[in-house]
Amino acid sequence: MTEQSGLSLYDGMQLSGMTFYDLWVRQITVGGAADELAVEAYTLGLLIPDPLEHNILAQAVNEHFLERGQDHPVAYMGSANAP
Amino acid sequence: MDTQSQWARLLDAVRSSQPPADRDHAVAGALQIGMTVADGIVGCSITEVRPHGACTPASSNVLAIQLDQAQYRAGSGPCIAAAVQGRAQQVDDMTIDDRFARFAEASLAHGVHSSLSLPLSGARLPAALNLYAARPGLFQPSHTQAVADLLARCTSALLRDHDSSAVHHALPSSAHARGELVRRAQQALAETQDLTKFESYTQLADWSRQQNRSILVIAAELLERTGQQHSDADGGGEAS
Repeated sequence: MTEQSGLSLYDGMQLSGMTFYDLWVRQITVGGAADELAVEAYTLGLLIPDPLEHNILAQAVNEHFLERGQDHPVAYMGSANAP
Repeated sequence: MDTQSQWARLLDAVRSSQPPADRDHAVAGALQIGMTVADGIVGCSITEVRPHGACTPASSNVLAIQLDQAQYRAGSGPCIAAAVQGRAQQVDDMTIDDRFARFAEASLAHGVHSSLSLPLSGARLPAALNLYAARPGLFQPSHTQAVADLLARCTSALLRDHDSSAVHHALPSSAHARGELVRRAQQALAETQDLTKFESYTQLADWSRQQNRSILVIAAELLERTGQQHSDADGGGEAS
């Protein structure tokens, strides 16, 4: 775990520099099915995703960092690095 | 109704096709949500610039109407500028910002110190969503701006009779194929280890984190181990 472990979806996305469109495409790529509006609302904390949806979005953000040789800064729910 | 339920209802309204009466109700709901974008917001309205002048077709309260009308009387203000120019207008401190002096004077008289006006793209007439706040600098945090921006795009979609191009974009064709690869691995893991969808996905994500490798690579390898082939169209385990 890095010192960035446990970032929220929003903080992770802010750190990544991704747009909401980028995040929506990525969450589809890693197995998600949420539409653009839901992705944006979940990330902004306006709607609460279920644990599976949360982890798919966390994976989507974390894949961005993986591609840049970095760790998984956004926490998953119900896993070893859960907050 | 709590804020989350209000947002859920608004997003449903944007996704669906509704008759005008329901649309007006949805727009009214959007303005009520506007009051919750941040603590300290005291008014929310829509400005429409018509051939014979600007008007406020919908608002959250009387204060918002008064502040809109102060701009219409002055012939300038952030709401009109946002609608006409198609660019966001943010006033962080009415006591300092001198772009809209008469509007600032009227705002301060009503105890309003900051405002944010966002253009409503694609509306039949130039229009803007306006948020007024009692404190200076309320609209500076990026999260507040992002929430207001989403609200403005949803309102735009409602005003465009559910032309949702403001909130929906095209998806690259490879994205679904790659997502299907992960879902197949998730399902295989769930079946072989008697896991729920959540447990199997979280297991894949945990392996991705522990091995510092893409979940697509993890999924492709798992499918190979379980004897399930994946085609090149699946993405071949490459990250996007």
